Amino acid sequence: MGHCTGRGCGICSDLFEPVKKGVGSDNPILSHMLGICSALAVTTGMESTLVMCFALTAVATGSTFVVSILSRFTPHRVRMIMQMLVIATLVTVVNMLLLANPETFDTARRIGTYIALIITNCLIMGRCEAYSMRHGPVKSALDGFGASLGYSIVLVLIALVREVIGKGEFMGKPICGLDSAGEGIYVFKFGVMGTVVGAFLAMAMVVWIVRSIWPDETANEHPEATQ
Amino acid sequence: MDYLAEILILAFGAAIANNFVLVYFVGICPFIGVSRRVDMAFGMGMAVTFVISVAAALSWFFTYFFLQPDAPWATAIYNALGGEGGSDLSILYYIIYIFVIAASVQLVEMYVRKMFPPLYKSFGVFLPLITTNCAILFACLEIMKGIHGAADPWGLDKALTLAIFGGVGFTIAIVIMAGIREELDLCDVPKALKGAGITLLVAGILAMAFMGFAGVKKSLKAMTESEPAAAVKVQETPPADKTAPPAKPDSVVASISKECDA
Repeated sequence: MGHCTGRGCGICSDLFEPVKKGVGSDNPILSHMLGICSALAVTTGMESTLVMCFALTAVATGSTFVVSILSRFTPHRVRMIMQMLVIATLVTVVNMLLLANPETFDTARRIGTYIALIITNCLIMGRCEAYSMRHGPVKSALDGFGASLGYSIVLVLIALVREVIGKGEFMGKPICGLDSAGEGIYVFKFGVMGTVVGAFLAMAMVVWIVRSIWPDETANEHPEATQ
Repeated sequence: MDYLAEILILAFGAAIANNFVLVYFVGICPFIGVSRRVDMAFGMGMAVTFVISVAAALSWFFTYFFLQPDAPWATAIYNALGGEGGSDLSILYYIIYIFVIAASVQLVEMYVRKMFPPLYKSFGVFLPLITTNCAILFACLEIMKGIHGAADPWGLDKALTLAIFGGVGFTIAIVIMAGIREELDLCDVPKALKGAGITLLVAGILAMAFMGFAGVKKSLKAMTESEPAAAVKVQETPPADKTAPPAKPDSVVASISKECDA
């Protein structure tokens, strides 16, 4: 997972450079194909996407911060298990927080499995391993935050496509004044976008469009880095 | 007979109808990263099936006897130490699972290195990286759902069936994908779509093919529930199912490669 070395990650003079990088040139989903399991699974609706993005941002920022502090006292051989322990603990905490909040309770119940799967999200492990082990806690936290911000932007984009086209809804409410019985102004609905197939297609489209506009990013692609 | 039908439906669901990769989106990273060549993909699939079985058996054991609310062994220890009432260690689920997975990857790695050195060499770096494969944690979480608060908690048999056939389903998906990608090397793909983009598109088409199996599972279920006489039929159907699934994806492979040739 050392895909970041050699591309100037270590010489970030500006504190906010990592955030900018995470959203742009180093975007975890678009340039590294990291953490796309959850990106495909939770994007059927905007609500579950936002809950997932919140959970991931919280875990990524917290765990990069903690891992960066602990890395000084951890022998090299057990660093992976230390990272996983930190991430798993944080995921448990975030999951309990989401379940305790009445507004997010239903959504958190529904996508609970995918919130738990944040533990094995390559994005967080990748940032911990590539950046936090060698940088200070504040910088690492900003790096983790930047990466998850980039992840969130892509997720919201895909969710927008899938919810609006697939269900004709936005944030769970029908668009164009359609009432609950489905009557009113005709709304274009393309049901397949809401299913499994639509997830893959929407993701492929986003990747295609982004890489056509910024073709440089193809050079950064390391599919093997994800495994 | 009910028991057999239940296990068979679970197995068919885990391997084909609710394929881990193409329906639940877990294990997508290796599905895209390690699907360049068929032999590599098959090795990866077998390694995942190994690890998933060991991890599932271990996590069933821990969940059933220690972690679930009022788990028998944990309660016994708690009461022996002077506590009263049942124990509830469900807060430790995720941490225990991730340890169990890491440990079983290590175990499988040591065993394979000792017993099958050539196989170990061909797995290379993929073996340790299975730890971060979501498919394995997903199987553990499904087992947890089957035990935690269930009226009829899963036994080891169901847990192992889900895990092994989940692994088989993963292998089927990744091998089909690798076969298609080998053919795709000969096609003229737009530059921006090369690599991840076209892989995702192909995965979408594959997912569409696998959606058809949801109907097979439904009718299988209906058949087992309707008549006791139908149970004989059920026994005959599963072998047919095992041969049928590869047939359909193969035709998908063929049609896609035909389109490429044209």
